[in-house]
Amino acid sequence: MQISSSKENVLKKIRQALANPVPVPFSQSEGNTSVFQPSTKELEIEFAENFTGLLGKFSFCINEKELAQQLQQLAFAKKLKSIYCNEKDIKQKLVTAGFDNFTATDVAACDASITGCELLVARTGSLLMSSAQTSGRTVSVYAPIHICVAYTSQLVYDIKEGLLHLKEKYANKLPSLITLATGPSRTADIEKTLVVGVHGPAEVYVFLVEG
Amino acid sequence: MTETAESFKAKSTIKSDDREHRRKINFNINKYNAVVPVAKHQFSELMVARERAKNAKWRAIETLDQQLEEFERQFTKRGGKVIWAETAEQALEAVEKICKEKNCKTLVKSKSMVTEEIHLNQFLEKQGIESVETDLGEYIQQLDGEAPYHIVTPAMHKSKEDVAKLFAEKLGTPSDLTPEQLTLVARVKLREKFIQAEVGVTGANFIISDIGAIAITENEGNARLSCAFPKTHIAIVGIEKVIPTLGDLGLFWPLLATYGTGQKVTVYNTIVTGPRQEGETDGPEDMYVIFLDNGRTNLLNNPKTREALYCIRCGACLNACPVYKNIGGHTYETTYSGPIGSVITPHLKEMDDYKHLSNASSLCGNCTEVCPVRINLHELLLENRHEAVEFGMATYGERIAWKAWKTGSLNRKMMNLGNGKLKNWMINKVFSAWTAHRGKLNFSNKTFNEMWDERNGKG
Ligand code: SF4
Repeated sequence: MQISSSKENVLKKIRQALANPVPVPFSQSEGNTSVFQPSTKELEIEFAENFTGLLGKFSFCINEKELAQQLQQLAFAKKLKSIYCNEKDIKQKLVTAGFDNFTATDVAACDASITGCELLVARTGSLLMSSAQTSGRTVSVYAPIHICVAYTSQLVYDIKEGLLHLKEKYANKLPSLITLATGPSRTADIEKTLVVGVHGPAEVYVFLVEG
Repeated sequence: MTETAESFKAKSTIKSDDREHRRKINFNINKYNAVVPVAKHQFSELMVARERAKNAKWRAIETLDQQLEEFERQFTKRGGKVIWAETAEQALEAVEKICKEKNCKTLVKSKSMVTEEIHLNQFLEKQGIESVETDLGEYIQQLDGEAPYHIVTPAMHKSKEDVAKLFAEKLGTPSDLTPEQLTLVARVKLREKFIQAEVGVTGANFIISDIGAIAITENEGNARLSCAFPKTHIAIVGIEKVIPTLGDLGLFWPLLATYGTGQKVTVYNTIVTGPRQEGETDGPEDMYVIFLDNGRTNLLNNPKTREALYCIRCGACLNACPVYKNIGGHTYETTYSGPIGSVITPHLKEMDDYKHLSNASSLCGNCTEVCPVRINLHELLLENRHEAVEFGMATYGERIAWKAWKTGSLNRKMMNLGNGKLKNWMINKVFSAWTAHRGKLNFSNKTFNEMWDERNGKG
């Protein structure tokens, strides 16, 4: 079959080419030390500063009760009519804490979505999410407003740390999609004018709960 | 001189006189230049970061066969399928076959230079399949029936008024919309397409071999939507995109963002390891990765040009190139423009047709200076000229000039003896045909070593 012979041909060409190896470019630079600025603050502060610096909206909650109250206020202030959440445990916690404003039955119809996340990356102010969450691939990107509920125990400092953590957590059963999301969807394709909300959410909120 | 070379010279002469065009390019590049230094602050050891990145690419490319096979092993375990394509035609055939099987009428695409390289859109059009570009810049270019202008900023040469006019003409919107309003129009139009499409096509910025996944870097979210809604996801990827491990992304994502757009990281960096897995809520039923060679093994074959395969397509060398700034992206008439385009295109296409591109450089070394993975671009341009000369494609005068230049530029000591004036003279006089088509080029009065020290001092 043609397909498999293509594979053989490509591999053959590669192997022939690699019969002439080239030496490592910069052996003196090898190593595992970090090349990024080290953390100078608590991870919560580091995250909050970096996340808000990229137009993310951040709120710290001492417990779930406060989370529920703050969500209520946000829903009121932004006149959110239909909120969608597809993660059972988060929904459960919110309902218990007194927030049960989930009227949207699917993401296409909602004006905001609530999801959790795998981890938060403090250095870049990013949310690390995966398709192992029941929100799947769509909920955090399709809704016009994305609200993420996270816990302080989910903070890591850097991207690599976060990725390796997931690799270990899932071992041989990696989720089919992992995404690092940093702030609202943006474009500068028209004369470098920054516009948010091009395909993904125009507003991203993180409610960081102690715990 | 071949027809392609003639056309390049003619077009570059016209473009470099086009002031309005130059104004737009400079405006864009100045904005870029303002943000890159800020993003660089995230690194405490920028030079080490760049050198490690080059080492990682070296490791991947020197064991490319094993890396690709490891990818296939891991990826197929999760139900993904790998297709190997030696040429653009084979890649297109594979896409056609999948589209037929899936009864595809509409296909959504996120930004990908490889799909430009194989001319996927034109091909699909002939098959009667609607192929919709979903990246805003690409969408604008597609509406205008034009190829992307810059590998990172496809509609770089259009002003907001140009875009408003274009939307008015093609979509019937009022002709005075702001960038915000134009973006919203595109959002609404494209949402229908994401839902409607049977197939989503993406490129990939990285192939991660240890876990068998691809990674896509973007700011808009259209790539995430392209691989979330359609039932089938096809990723078309050049075989050189490999990095050895998942952890390497911790270095490559920030580097690509810093040098590509002056961000610490882009808004979305997505790793896709396969189709929807058991127990997952959504995602495509099938996922294919098409590995494309299309001449890349030619670059691999010459140990000198091999490092061109380390390129992460950040576009920094384009923005830094005085020739690119002057003549712009379309004049090259190739998928990959700027210094890196001039290096790789002759190997991806016929050397004879495109060797003039290696001459479309001032050999000022700015490109080498800025490359995040430290590719010796201007040496590679010289290498191409050398190959062209060896293949007997150069004119006699060029051969002599090339030799003189090479002796000069490869000998650091000699380079440092000659200050800017001498270099200018050398370029402007020795390459006499040069000045006619390129305009006088100015070299910095600093020597290479001075610039090098300065930069290293800065970190
Ligand atoms: S050659 Fe270097 S600077 Fe140019 S696009 Fe590639 S990685 Fe960027």
